[in-house]
Amino acid sequence: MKEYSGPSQKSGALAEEAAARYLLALGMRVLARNFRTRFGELDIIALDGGALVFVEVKYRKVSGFGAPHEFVTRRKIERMKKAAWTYIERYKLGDAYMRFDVVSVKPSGIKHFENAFA
Amino acid sequence: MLSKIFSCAVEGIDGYLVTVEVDMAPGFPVFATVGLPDAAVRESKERVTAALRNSGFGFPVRKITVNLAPASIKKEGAIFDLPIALGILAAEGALSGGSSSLSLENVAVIGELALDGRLRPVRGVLPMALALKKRGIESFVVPAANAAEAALVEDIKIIGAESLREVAEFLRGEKSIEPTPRRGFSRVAPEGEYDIDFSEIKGQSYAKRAAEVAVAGGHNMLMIGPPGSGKTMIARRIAGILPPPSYDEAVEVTKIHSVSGHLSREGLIQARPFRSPHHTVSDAALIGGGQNPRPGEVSLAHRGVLFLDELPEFDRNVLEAIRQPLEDRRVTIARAKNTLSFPASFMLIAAMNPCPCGNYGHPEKECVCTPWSIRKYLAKISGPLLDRIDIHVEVPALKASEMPALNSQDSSGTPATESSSNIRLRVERAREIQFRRNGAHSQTNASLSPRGLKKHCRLSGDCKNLLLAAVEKLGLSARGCDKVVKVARTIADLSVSGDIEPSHIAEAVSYRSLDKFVV
Repeated sequence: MKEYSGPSQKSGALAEEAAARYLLALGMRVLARNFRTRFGELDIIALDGGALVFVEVKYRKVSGFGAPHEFVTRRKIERMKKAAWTYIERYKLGDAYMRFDVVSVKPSGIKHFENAFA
Repeated sequence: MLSKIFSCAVEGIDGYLVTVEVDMAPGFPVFATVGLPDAAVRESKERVTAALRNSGFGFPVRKITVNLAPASIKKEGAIFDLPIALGILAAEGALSGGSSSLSLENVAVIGELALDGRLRPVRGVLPMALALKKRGIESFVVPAANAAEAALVEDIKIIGAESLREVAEFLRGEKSIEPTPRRGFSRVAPEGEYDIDFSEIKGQSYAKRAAEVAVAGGHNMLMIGPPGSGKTMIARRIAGILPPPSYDEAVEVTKIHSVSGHLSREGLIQARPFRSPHHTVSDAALIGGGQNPRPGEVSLAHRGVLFLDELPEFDRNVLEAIRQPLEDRRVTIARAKNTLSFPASFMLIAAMNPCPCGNYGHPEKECVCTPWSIRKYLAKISGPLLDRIDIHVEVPALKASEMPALNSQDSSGTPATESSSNIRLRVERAREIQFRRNGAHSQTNASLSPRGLKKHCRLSGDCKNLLLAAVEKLGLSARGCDKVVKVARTIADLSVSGDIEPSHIAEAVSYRSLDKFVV
């Protein structure tokens, strides 16, 4: 994957940082950030009690085009699932409880969607 | 955690036990349904998820596998929503815990879920309840709208529930639901249920008599006559003179209608069905069919009347398709996936014009059809089909003096025509005689077996001679000859006569007029 570092990438990284702090504040342990696979990237992988949580962080400065979490498309979900499988396979975590969360970041605040894809 | 919930499904018109197994395990959160589900069953995942959430249960983030056993039969429809939802709750341990919780071993559940957790009615609850009773299940939880229908079955508690929440509370023993009581069955003719009556038909006494004979013995009838002569009027009024069904017959009829989803909340169908499909009906709709075969019109008319108006307008293949059920009184539908058999013991009433313009044989009007077009029109009714119709009757055009609109003023002078209830009394008496004589297997004279025919329809020498002459003159087939004897038996029963008299034979022969007419 080609590296970009324009203004969008910067604000995205800032949003992920904010999201990670938010999850820590909830009592989760962050296991990995920006876990890259051939299918795509997992923004945050965290441990919530005994459950493995795969987190997608979405950031929008303005919400005139819809809230940030609305931009998690079906295709993105499929890619995240495949990426999660890669992680599970690598660390042999197939027996763990797991779920997918979405954290939606706006200048006005953070919203957290637990088990967002079920 | 693993859980097991009993449910039921229908194949043909018989139910079979389905075990819904739900396994919940840690791992990648997926929801898989196995056991040959169709699209509607697979979609139940979405309904179950929403219904659980909206009933205040929450949906577990687990790897969930649902198995519908036996896995070899194709499951269809949304009927497993409720057992799947309960299976998930049971696997979470949310159904036990109450002090007096029921054992899930003795309960079966069925129902489609609305997204808010309410229960929607499903098809085929009656055959399901019958099958579950046979398997020794003690209670059957059904949507409240289906409770009356399921409660027709004895010795199984029918629990009518409104919502998922209610069922869960019931199974936990927190809430008690009274079993739906079985409604009493009274074999009385519904009074005033039909707003049409035979007394409204002026004239046509010959056709009315033929209709009475046909209904009394369950014989098939074909009426032929110009437009507007009253064929359809007579046919429509036949529903009003049918004798009420026995309890067993009513259950048979209800079972078929239950499977095809035609039932109201009432439950038991207490009147014989009268089906009149339009002549554009397809053979599959008439006989039954589909990938997973459903009963067609001939089965929906089981124990009742199938009325085919404008007989020659039906597709030829459609008409030929009813030949076999007319004889066997059931249809067997074979499809690639499975072969099913539905009962189809109906009485055929058909009506037709004598030619395309309708005036052939009219005393005053002229027929404008060419001989060729008449032939073509009548050729739609094949000989074999005609042979299976016991009673042919001509319904001639009314003369001006007989027209009801012209007669209404001085109705005091004309003799009053008989009402449907009067005719029905005679029909019921004749059926009663048949039932006592023929036994339960062939209740009507029309369905007498060859052996029954020999035993119950002995002919005197005079009768035999008369019949022989008729057979020779009309060129009747062996089956046609038997039919004449059966009709004669019915006529004798109508006049409460133990033996068949020559006059009965003569009347029966007069109902075979078309054997000469259609060539």
